[in-house]
Amino acid sequence: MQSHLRTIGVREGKTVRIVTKQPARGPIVLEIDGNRIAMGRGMAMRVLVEI
Amino acid sequence: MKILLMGNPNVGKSVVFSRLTGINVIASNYPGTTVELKRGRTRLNEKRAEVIDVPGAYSLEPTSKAEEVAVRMLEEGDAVINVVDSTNLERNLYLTLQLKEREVPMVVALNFWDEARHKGIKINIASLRKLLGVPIVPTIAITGEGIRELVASIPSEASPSKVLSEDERWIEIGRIIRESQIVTHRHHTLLEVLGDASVKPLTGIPIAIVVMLATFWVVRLIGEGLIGYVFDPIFDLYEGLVLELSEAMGPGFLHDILIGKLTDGGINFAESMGLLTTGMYVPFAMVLPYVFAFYLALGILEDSGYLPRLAVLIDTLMHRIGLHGLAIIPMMLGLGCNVPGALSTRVLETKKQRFIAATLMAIAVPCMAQIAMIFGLVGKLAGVKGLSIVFLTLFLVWVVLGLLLKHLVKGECPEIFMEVPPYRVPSGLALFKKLWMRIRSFLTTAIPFVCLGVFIVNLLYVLGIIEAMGDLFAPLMTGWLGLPSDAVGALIIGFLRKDVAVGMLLPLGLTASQAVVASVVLTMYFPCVATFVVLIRELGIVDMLKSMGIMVVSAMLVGGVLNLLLNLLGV
Repeated sequence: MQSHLRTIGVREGKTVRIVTKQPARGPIVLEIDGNRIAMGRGMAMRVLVEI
Repeated sequence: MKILLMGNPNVGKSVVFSRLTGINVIASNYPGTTVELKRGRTRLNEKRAEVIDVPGAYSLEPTSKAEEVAVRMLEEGDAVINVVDSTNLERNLYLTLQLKEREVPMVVALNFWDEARHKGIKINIASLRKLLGVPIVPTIAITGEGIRELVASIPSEASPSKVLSEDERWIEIGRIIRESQIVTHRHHTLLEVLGDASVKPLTGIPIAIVVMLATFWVVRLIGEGLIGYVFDPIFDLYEGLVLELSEAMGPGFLHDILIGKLTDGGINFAESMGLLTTGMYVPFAMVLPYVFAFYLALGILEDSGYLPRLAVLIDTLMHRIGLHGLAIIPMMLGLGCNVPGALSTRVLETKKQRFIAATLMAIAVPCMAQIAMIFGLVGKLAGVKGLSIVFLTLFLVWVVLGLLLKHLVKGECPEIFMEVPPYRVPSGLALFKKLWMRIRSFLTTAIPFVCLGVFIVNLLYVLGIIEAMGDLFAPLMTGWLGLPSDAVGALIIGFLRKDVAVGMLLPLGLTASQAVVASVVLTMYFPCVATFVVLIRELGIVDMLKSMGIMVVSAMLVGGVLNLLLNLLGV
């Protein structure tokens, strides 16, 4: 799973912006390197970020 | 020699393929448009070479059925054209390095070259070429720029490469990016702002409602307009010709087959059931206008990049029925024709999801040909109210069956995980080409099948089979569904073509509620033969049998209950 996340662009050292969180624990959309990536909340919970 | 087109999803491989081979394939702006291999031919240094359009993959470790196809193909290829999105170089290079490690002759196409420049991304081609050790060609596939150089640059031998670990690959990519790419400015463009607004719920949901209503309105307006102003006048002229032919021929079996029954000395094109009358009128004047209008609208939704955004918005709802947002793709494509709808279930990750999506689509999503005929039948007999009942019932079936299947089918329901591509202004030429491909495929498959259907209808009546079957199934058809026993003929023909089947109901003199029940049952009870074949291939025999059981049982259940309800309420 980790390596799949990396190949789609979610990687260590990247700056992440949350574009939107859908209500009712729906998916979130991230912006990384100018790309938008949608992922479910369960997966998003396991992505660690530094604020 | 076999050349594989490989790359991440949604980088434009199918557009490159069309350019190389002259064969048009469907290309859209969402990841996972291509789910099966497409083969074509091109010229390579005066020799002919086979080009294969491979479904997109982020890496050589597959996570979906479409990606598995991609990885398996690599064994067969003699050379690879690795199509890369220049606006996303870093992420795309992971697959590039993996491909390079396989030591196949390879050239890299830096596609969307114009978009990268526009976004302020500068890539030093000479440096990239040196670091990767393979030829690099900037391309703009949609206009054809760079495509010729691409083929000419395919090397005869692979450059040697050692196999790296995942970490080593990312370190290598970091080095390559530092030395060959400069991002000068990054500001949000108008399309980006609009793109984000359409996934944020507060703005996105109103946008989605407007888009869906506008789509519906455009399809109806264009469909009705084409029928009223183009096709009906043409058939009015054509009527004189057919009447002359009818007189010259005189009554008899041939007359029944070619022209069918006359109504008051004139021709009722929708009902007469002749090859030259109904066989032409149904596909051209009743179905084609709506198919044209729908595919025009769908093309714009696909090429702009709106569909993945709709997928995000609808994701939570889809999870309730065991799917995720991306399942909107098979449903939308299924509205056009259930065959591409069934194929596109491959974008879903697990067997459970594919089973649920395929079953729900086959049961509750009528294709545009059938919808057009339902408009004709139910619209005439039961008006907008009748149409609303038909589509609301199908929607409820979709939801309730989905809720049940989520709990009954074993397996995993993974979350949505996908790239949301940037909005792009659809190219008029690309839209037109795609529309033409779909219309042509409708005409070449629909016309022969509609004619065959009309022919078999005549045969079934002449041989008395419909009467016999009608008597046999009378308890079910008349007792339970409240339909005339002749309607069993529509269920037989429905396996061949659903549009002809709905057409067979026209001369039966149905009441408003009978028209509603018959339309719902015809949509649900079984897929047409074309969809049936694809579903067997996609689901396997065992799952298809299960799916078929669900179809027949739920169609009879829903049809009967609907009949009781409508009678009870006196609708």
